Amino acid sequence: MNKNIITFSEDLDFLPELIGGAQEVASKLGGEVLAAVIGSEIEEEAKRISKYGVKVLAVDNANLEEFDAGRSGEVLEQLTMNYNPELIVLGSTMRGRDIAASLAAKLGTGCVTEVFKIDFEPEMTFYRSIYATAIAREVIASSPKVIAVKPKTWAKPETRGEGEIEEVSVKVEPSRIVQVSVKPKEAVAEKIEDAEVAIVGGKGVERKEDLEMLRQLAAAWGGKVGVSRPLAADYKWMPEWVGMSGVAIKPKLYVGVGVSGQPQHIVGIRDSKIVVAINKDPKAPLFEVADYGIVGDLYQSLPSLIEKSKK
Amino acid sequence: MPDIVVCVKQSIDIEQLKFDPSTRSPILAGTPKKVGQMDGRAVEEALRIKERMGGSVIALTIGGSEAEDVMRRAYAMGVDEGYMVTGPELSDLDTNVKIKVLAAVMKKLPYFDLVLCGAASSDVSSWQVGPGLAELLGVPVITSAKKLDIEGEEVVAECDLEKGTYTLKAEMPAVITITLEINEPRIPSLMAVLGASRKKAKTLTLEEIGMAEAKSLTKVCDISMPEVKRKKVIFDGSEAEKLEEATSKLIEALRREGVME
Repeated sequence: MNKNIITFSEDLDFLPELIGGAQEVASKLGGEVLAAVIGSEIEEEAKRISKYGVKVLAVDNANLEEFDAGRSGEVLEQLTMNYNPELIVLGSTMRGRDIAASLAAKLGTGCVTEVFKIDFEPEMTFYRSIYATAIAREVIASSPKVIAVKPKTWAKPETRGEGEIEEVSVKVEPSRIVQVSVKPKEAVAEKIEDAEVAIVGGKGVERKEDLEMLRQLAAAWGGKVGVSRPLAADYKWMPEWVGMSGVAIKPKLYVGVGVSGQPQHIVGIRDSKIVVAINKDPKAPLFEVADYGIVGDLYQSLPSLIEKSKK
Repeated sequence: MPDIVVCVKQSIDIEQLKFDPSTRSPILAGTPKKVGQMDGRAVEEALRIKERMGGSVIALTIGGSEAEDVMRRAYAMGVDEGYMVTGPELSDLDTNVKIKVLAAVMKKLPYFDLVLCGAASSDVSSWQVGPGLAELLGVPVITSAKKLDIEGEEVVAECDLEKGTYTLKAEMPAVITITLEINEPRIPSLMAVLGASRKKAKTLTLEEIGMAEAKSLTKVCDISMPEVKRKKVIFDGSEAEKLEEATSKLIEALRREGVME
């Protein structure tokens, strides 16, 4: 059986991680790792990727200038026909998932997205999140298998000299999606994912100004401030939020201030070393997954904690 | 006047889902299901477009016995017509096959301009249905829209991606997936709920759509809750006089853990 692996990500900074992981898989199962670089005028990009010890399949076509998940899927389908891979590894980014689903539908094969780990015994088994906080182990019964793997699952391999680049010409229609405008994400001043101590506000925090109190505690404890989804997505108090659809954090100390602890939030903090919950509702689910907690009003607890930390 | 099809699924209410303490596997029996958060917003968005521009809204669901609940909810919210593919075998089918089933039903429907569905279900969250469906229907897809407009023959969507907010445009027919930020779904009135119970969705079986042989392409081996050992030491600061003691104890505990100076 052919055991080649094709890797692809529309995000060229992410692709090396996928190559690294695919090389690990290939070292166990055999086969060659091929990396697809798809787009318009991608010569430089193809060279850069070839340094990661893979053969690059360079698909350079003016019709691929603008992103269209279906078109990327079409190109990967043709590469699949030509190179007959057993596994196709894509990135589980927003666009990567779209490509994975599109490709799988085209090939009539099974697809698992949001993969964060692979086991090989007794067969290739993919781990993904399900029900927000639980883990499902899945296998794909059909061939080839299409998976989308989450960022930071694998490490980038060391670079070496430029490798082989094969130019592949494909037939593809122009993109059907027109990009009207892009507003890049605001630079986030408080990068909560890098913080050793994360003080995270939830819906118990009544006003945006009250985040100042959380900042004071963060300053006293050497940390940074973040918020849960409603405060960012609905109230727009901050550009990013902590949780499943936002950023996942793993600080030494996480303090949820007025955070109730919905499963989607908990999945984003569960790798924290110590979890603290401060909430006046003793039934808040966050207490169930906390190391320490205060059942009490955050508007009294925080000033007291700030005051005592000064001493 | 756009004709819109909305795909709706019931998801396990993950906030109420419990796990067996010894096996760590989910206890699905008896856990309530409800229309997924993003799916509900897809229905709402379709109705808002209809209210602005006319046209029609068809709701489509597939599943076991819960399909009727989905339809009642969709009718109560105000959709014009409902289609459901039901059968006991449907609850066991994986996402990849369900996408094929949805596409097979849609190919039987009269013309549509727009297919809306939630970007992800609230329970399984594979994010595959919209793009997979678009592929099988041969139409473009825009995923995770937080704002949606129709301009002539085109649909314009605003989407938050990892690197920024993208405004994207495609010619209809198209598939658009809907994310949480787009709207707040209406809560149907009692009258609407009562009225909905009289409306009957058209029911199809896998055989009728030519998919009697449908078979899952992926298999879930098991589901478990990762073990998180937390200390759960909770200090009571619910009354003013206890609060000072609680905060002191917390600081003491965190110093002992070495996570604060």
